Amino acid sequence: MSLCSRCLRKSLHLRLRPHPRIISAPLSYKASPSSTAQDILSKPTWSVSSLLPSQSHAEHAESPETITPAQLHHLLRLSALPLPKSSAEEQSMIETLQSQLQFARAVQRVDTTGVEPLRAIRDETEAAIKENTIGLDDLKDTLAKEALVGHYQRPRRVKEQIQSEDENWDALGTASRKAGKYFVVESGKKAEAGEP
Amino acid sequence: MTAAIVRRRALIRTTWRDSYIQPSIGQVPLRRSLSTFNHFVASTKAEPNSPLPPQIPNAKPFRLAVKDNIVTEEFPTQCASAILGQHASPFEATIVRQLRQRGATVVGKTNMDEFGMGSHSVNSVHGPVRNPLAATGDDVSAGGSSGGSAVAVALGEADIALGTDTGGSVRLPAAYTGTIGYKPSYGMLSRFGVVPYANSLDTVGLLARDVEPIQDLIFDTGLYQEHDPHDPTSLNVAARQRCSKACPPTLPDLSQLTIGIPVEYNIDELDPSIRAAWVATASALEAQGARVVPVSLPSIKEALCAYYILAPAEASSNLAKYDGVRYGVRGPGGDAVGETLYSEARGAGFGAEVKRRILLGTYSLSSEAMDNYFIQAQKVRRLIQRDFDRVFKLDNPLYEPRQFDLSEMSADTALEDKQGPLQVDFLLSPTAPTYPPKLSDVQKRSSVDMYMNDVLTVPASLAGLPAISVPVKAEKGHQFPAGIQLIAQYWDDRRLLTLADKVVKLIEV
Repeated sequence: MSLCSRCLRKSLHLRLRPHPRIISAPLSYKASPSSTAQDILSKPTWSVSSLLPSQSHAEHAESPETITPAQLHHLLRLSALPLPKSSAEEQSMIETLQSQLQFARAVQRVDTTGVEPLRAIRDETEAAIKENTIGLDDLKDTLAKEALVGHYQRPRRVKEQIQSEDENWDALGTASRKAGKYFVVESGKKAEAGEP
Repeated sequence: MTAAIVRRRALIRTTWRDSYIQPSIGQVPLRRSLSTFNHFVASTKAEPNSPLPPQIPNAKPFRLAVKDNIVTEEFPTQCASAILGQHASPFEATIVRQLRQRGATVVGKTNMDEFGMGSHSVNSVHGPVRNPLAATGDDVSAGGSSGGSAVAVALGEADIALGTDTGGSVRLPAAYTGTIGYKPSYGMLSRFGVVPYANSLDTVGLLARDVEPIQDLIFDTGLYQEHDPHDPTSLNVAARQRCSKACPPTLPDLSQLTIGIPVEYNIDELDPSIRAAWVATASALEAQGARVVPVSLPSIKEALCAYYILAPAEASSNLAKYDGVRYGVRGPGGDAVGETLYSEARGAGFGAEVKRRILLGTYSLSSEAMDNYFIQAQKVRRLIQRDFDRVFKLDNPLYEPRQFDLSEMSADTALEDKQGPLQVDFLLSPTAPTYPPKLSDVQKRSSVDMYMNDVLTVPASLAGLPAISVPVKAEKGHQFPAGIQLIAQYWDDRRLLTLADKVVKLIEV
């Protein structure tokens, strides 16, 4: 009985709730006062701040993403970025990364069992798969160009010079340091370089 | 053009003279654009290597501004980054060549967020872009990352501007500057010659003051049919024909259209007056006979997080090539001075936000986090795409028609008839949750706070869908218009642009 009365009160409450306050915002042109859109948008559905670390931290305090200084240095090396110059800089880098990860962790609450990852937007229709499948017909010309070599007459591909406009650009044209037809990379470390 | 713009344009000349007196600050030559809004990148014009492409028969001449991450032969490309210096590209981007054939003259390269990473065009070596709609003396965000392109169009210094849209980088500045920003279906326009940020999301977008010029360029001149063999993500000719066959060529009367209001876009943080503009636009369409219905896209709530895993991960891989050896700027002390080879040059060349995203991307691609972050985000991305496919009347032409089980939908989905829930032709939502913030407020925000700005634009990017932002003035006397976004099914771009044009005209009356 108590449940029923609560339901009733709830539904009454819903029905009695006045129309959204945003109506009072003055509009430069007339919108019909009882438009469908107004009803739909009367109440926000969720808050983006629910994704923010400050809020989710309280909820999922059990396993916050922690990055150790060693981990940070490893990531920086992988990224070919310089290591932090001071412990304050190191701390702020760790804090930034942790806050980003806490925010990004919201994807983990979605149940994705049996879902195929979407890696790229491309044509996946049967017609497209058929078009992109390489069959014997596509290889006919290439196979015809093979030469039979040796005692056992094994087929070998004959190397062909492909003339393409894409090959004719000056790859070194934009390099700041070069030696002849080579790029220059100075690999020698400075004596004092190393751990900061 | 508002009075504010006219007033501020009058100031440009004086500022130009001021900065001319001190062409360099210390060792660093002043590379700042000589304008109040800092929207064009100052650069010396180079002699193009190849002759101009022949124009098509009825090409109409127009002025084109190009975002500085799209290469042109005339101007250097810098991506607003110190690591590229004044990089002179040996070739020109396909989209620029295609537009030249259609009558474009490139007027300059526009300022942006470094490599497209940002939402306010402030992460730039050239300094921030400023919004011309702001009152004199106020430094307000022009949106990003294609902020310079949007301002060039808003000021009338270009008829069309090219931008790139990875997670809203064309639509957001359009919303902030009161212009039209169009992100086409992924794979429609060639990306050859566009410096990649996140390959699976990057698209070339167009900005203009009206919808018609965009429509003319993309559809009337047949640009949408052109496949580029240099770009592996450009849809091939057969696929384009299949997609075009699946989409109706013309927009029916508004009375036969159903417009969906995605309720998940109605967030707490939405400015009440932007919500009012949203309601007003929907009501205006309803008054013309369109049916307006609520739709639910439940996975959208995780879209922002998925985007900020996928985009930095792809960026960390894309930006690995910048070492200063083959092009760009390298440090004076040799390549191995730092801990890792090239690390000093990369540390000096990249801006703070770029480094933050590279680091985040490296983490989510590392072996311990790969499955929980990167792959999980790709799975969420599939769910988001399915959510969109479920609400649109048209099937996604990239897939075989799919059946959607009622059991997969949330229990409170309203059913239209025994066929299932109501499906819509287009989705209507705001582009940005707030009006453009002051640059001083932007500087105070943390990087994660900054990401929140993209919450309404990222979903369409993840699903590869076409979307357009149009300005809607909600309140009399409000300084800024609200950006209203229309989203359509994949390859339904032509009808989307037609509807956007109708919305603009409907609101003007």
